[in-house]
Amino acid sequence: MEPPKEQQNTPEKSISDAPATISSAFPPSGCCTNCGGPTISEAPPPLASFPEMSPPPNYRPIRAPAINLPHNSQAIILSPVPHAEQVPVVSPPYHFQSPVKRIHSPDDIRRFHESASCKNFLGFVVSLSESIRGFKISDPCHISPTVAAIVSILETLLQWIDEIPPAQQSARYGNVSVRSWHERLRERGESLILEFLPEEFKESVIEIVPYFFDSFGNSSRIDYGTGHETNFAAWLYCLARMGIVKEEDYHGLVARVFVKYLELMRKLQMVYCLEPAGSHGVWGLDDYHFLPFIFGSSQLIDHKYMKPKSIHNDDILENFSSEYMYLSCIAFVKKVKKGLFAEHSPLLDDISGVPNWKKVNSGLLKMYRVEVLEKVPIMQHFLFGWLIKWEE
Amino acid sequence: MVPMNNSDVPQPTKKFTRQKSPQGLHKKVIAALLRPRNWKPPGNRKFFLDSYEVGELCYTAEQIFMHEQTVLQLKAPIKVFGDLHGQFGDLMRLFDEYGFPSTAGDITYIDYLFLGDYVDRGQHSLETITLLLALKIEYPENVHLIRGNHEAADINALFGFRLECIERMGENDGIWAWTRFNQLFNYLPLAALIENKIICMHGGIGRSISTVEQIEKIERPITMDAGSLVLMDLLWSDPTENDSIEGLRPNARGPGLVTFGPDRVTEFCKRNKLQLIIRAHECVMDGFERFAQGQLITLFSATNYCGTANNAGAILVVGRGLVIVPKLIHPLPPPILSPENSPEHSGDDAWMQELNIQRPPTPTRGRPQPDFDRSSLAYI
Repeated sequence: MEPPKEQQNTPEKSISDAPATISSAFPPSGCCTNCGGPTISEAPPPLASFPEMSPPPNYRPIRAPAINLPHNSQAIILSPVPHAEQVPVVSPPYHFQSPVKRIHSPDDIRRFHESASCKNFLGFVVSLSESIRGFKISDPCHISPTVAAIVSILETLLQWIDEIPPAQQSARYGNVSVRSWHERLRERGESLILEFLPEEFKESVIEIVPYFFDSFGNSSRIDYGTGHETNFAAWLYCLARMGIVKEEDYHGLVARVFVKYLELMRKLQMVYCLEPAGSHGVWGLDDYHFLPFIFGSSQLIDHKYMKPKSIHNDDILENFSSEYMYLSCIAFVKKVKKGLFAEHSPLLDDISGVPNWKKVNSGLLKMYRVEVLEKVPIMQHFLFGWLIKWEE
Repeated sequence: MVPMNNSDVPQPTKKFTRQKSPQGLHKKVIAALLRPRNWKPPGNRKFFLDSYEVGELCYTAEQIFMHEQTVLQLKAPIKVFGDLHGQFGDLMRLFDEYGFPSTAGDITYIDYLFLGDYVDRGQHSLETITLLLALKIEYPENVHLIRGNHEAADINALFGFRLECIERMGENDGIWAWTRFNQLFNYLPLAALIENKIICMHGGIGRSISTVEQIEKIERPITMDAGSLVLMDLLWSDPTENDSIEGLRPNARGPGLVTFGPDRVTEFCKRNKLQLIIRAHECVMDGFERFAQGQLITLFSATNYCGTANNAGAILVVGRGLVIVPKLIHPLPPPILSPENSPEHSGDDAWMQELNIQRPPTPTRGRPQPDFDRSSLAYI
């Protein structure tokens, strides 16, 4: 297998096709004035001494394509920014069913991405992001009884943390008491949801409750990651599909419900020392969350004086974290991680160099589609039922 | 943001030195990287090897791995290392505190075994894997590497290794090198037996493994999607949550994976006449953790996992007579100079803190604008 001179299987050619070792700055022929040797070195000969070197693998790993990766920079730059979509509301007769996992392979991911379910779900996330554009968290917004009910459910879940203190334990990273918290969720969660569901939708619990239960991390591994966060978004999406929350509620969903969810998750993460599930370490946006960065950057679009680089100003972080999700996320990261920000969170640090929040927001939406919704290790856990359909 | 392509300035002399170095490439790597006391993250993120050198290193190491058995037969005394995940600084600290593999160190007296997960998540996966490969080439009988679940293309495409290769070697060279490393990984041995009494693997025994022969029978090179249940269990399974949960349970990491209870450990050890299983794969607070009344030990060598866990990293020193001694390193305290990291400074430092806050911020280490933009920023 030869070192790169030509393209491999990547669909788009990269910017320069020049072989890596020849620069066009040098004259096509010339002699070194010093030694008389050629001033251009040829591309090194193929590694003839290694004839048995195996050809590039042409297998397809189960979980993700290894060669034809979408992670070609040109492809990403040119890919469209996800746009908002209206969520179609279901009408009777309803066929709620217990949702199951469907994604096992990269082929399944491809199918999912071409399906209307995926596009609409992503469109819903975009709508949520747009609904909070330019708003502070405390800005007044329409709060329907449903939205208020969900907030109070999350408040209840918060109280349970106080009632279930972390166990005194010597070694383990994650605190086992979180399993008691999850148990209580399983015992009481369904009835909490039933309380605010309209009569005609009470049967939907069989379908929507699993999404809800999986929104707070995994109890046996004591971890939490962007997959769980996506489940929470999916649960909200199911409510939108039933028309229980409507477009005028989206602002409240973000500013009240999601903010409360974030508060709940932060507390769970801190109190029970949840492990970041499938973290990408320094190569990811954040160990636990993605959506608050999307919504948070939308909040700051066209802000008069706060720019992406403002995250380096500790005064701003301190004073405005309560109003702007993006800032509170950065403040949290700075609080729990040790060392220089640029070292433990280089991606967030790089983003702070982007000129405006609109670019940050659209870039993060693109990134969400690829880094979360197109990743088998995350989506293999995603559930499909009747509200979020798996298309055969 | 458009990444600049990696166009080298032609160096007519480089070909000359490269021709001399195939014999000495791994020595060059060791000289550059094996600095337990002095290694600092490089200011320039560009990796010091080019794709040709990566190719040569991989080829030479591959030749060694392909002639080794799938289950290595090792002898005490030997030091065992758990997950490193690109945290090269922790590897250096472990070498510095507890001995390093060199004739100037202790390689004459003790062997080294690494349990996989060399890449992903950390900032210096490239240093970690190239140094370990170079050490393997230099001391093929004394340094041993087995495979972790992150030594697979579908995983390390996602968790940072591929990104690091692209960022630090350019898009073309980086993807090539990443592919080459993954071809090499398919040759890595899968387990090790120490004195026929201690078995070591990355993940565990899962549900499908009852005899060591089953592992020995696996032929390499092998890819993770070859369909081998034994391979999946070996690299991905975990013990159950605690000693009171027996038998097999589903593993939340993903479908098809399992957790195995202490009864399975006991049965496996008895049937194969083993005393102990040493494995890695899970972050544990003290760097090592016992299971099944000490018949299984989980080992994790990367400190402060994800920057927040604050866990210690550990190695196990297996002495003659198979006495096991764990050695720990604790997560480093943050650097003192940055004002953002000294919220709990005591009163007498407060005047210093004020000055620090007013000082212009220290330029970030190791991350000046690279020649190649971080490819994830292509989104923005």
